[in-house]
Amino acid sequence: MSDYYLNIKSTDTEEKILLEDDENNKTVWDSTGLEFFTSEFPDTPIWYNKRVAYGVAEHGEYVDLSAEGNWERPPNIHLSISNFPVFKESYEWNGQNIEVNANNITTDGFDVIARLNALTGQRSRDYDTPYPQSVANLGEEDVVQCPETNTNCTRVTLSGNAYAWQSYSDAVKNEATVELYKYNFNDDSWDYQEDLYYKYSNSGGFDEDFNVDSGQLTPGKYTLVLRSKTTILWGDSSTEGTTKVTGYSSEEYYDSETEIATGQVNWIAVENAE
Amino acid sequence: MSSKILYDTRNNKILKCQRKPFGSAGMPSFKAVCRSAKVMEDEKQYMDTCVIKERMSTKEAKEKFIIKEGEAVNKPKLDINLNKNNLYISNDDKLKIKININVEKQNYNNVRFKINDYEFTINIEDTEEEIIKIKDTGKYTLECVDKRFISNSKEVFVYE
Repeated sequence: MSDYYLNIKSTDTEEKILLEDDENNKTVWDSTGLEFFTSEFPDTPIWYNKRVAYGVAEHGEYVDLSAEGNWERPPNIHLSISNFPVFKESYEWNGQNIEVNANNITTDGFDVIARLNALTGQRSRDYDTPYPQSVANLGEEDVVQCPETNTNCTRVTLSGNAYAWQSYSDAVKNEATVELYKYNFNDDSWDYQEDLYYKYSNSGGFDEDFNVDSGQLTPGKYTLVLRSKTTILWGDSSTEGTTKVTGYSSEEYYDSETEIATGQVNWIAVENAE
Repeated sequence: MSSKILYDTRNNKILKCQRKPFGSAGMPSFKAVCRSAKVMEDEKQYMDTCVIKERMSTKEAKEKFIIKEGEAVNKPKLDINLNKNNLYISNDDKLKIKININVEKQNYNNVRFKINDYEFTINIEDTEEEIIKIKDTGKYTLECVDKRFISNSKEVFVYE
């Protein structure tokens, strides 16, 4: 049976109660808390923590420690994935990373971050045949929408062709336009932004390849609209004309660190000993 | 009690369901769940909370409960029953859909259903049975997509 020695130290700089056995196992109780030391590891404390809490939290949740907790020191927080999306196929051309974090940690609580982010990415799209194409014969106007981007697009380009033909010079006006639209999530509608390309002819028509570039955009969901219009200026029943706008391929550029999915985490909060 | 639900008193919409931690922390406060749900300061006057005994996520709570007189109650259950599981176009078979709910039918009009990609509504306040004619062969899944209910789905196969 061991002998135990009780040592109470009280000096100008420290106060502690020390309980030690003859095998050098000891218990130390001071203002920082209660520590246990074994003879095998005399310098590595085994802490007694006053407060421990744990649970499951969703992304964006504020974990409240103030109710019934009365924590005196900010906790150490440990998080692990509980129910989490780890990959979204619709963002396969972006790198994706999982972000799990506890922010704004105080004695009252902390905010949980648990999300899947899309990193910078670029998608090249060669459109399938038949290509998106608007066609307007005499007296017509036609619009065709190109495939829309994903929701965090910051730039889009389009390669295509504008073609116009008229039977008599100055009899027909051919107009070819590529318009940029942005999706409005509140209204579930597309808002016109600007013309990226406009070509017209009153005489002779045209056959021209184009490359349009939106430039830097605020992140959002976008689409390009091909518009063709053929207007008779004068003539008779023999007057004819056609305008076509065709899209062949596009490039889409995506912003980084955009949240694409959220999840749940297990958390444990342990009050710091000091 | 294991979770606290935050809802908007103006429309009884569930905004957040937050689980009570284990150990040295109690049920989250009203202020905490408002912070979790990102409720603006001037909107807090319209918020209220109730507690439930289950532990669940916000998504699960929205699927299972509605708020009635300040309490979270189970959504009404809607049962879909069909006259047949196999229909034959050559016999001019029609699909009869019978709807049963475990609450009063009053005020439940224009309940939204979907059969494959086709959406339609049934006024179950007045109608006990809806008849649909399907013209193409194939497998069809009929389900209630109205979030006011918890419902089953049914499959029917249509042959020549």
